[in-house]
Amino acid sequence: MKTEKNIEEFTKYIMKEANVEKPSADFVNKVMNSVKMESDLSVSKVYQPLISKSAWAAITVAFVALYIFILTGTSQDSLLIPNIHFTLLDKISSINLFERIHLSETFTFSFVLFSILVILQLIVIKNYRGQ
Amino acid sequence: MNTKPDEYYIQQTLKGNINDYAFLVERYKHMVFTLTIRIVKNREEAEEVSQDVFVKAYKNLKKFKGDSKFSTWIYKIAYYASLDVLKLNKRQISSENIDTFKERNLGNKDDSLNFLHDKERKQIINDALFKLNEDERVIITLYYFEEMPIKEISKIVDLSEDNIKIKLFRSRKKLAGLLKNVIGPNTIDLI
Repeated sequence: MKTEKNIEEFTKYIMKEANVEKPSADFVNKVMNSVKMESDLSVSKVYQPLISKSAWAAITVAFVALYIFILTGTSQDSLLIPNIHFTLLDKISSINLFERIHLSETFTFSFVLFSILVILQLIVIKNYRGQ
Repeated sequence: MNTKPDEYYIQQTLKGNINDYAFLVERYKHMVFTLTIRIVKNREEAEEVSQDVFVKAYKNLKKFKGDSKFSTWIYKIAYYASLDVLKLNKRQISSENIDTFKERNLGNKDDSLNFLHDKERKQIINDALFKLNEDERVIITLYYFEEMPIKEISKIVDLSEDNIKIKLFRSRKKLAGLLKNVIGPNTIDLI
């Protein structure tokens, strides 16, 4: 018990000798410069909406005008839609590129699992880096 | 000069008076720097980490609710920031296993080197401190330099109070074992 007490006294004595470490003289200035930069950044980082109010007004006016135009201008002459042939699209969609490719269940299963793991890893790494 | 409580400077900073944050930096720079240097073991790196700690604290000042002391909060940031740097550098030198230390040997006064100059003594003490584990170094630094209660230390290092008491006990024994013949054993009778 006496030894423990003495060891504690000894530790107090040596810790008093060690003192606290002192950073460089301009430490506070360096920190404050960084803090001011951060502060300026946060002030300038006021997000502007992608579509401004005037643009929204113009879009609204355009839509209303189009709506009125469609409702009022019902004559066939005013709505001349070009005659497009859609049969080509049908042909394209009927071509099955993967018709001849056969994948085993094992491959499909492992591919899907691998993809999920890659996505999970990406999320984990992103969270870790973002901390 | 800056005798006002931490809360005052925190509120002023949050109101936009950034310069008041300098008082907090001035108040805690030594302890934050001491904690970081005790972990990263490199002066330049410790300075960089300490600066980052204060900037990080500034950015998150809004989140500081005042549940604990500002000092506890900032020391915690410093502790984890330093550990992160250590993890990144992977330069952690395994702490020496000196658990086999014999209390009975403490009385060997013949090898005493207490004529060492102050600077040398300080260097030797710091070298001995670096031979403790990171958490032990932080705990002993907070306990003896900052005179922080064990309850507060437990909040910083996320360990139970009993665990901290054990670590303190072990650290004291290790330090005494390392320095018994170097730092004036005549000063305190260890037998």
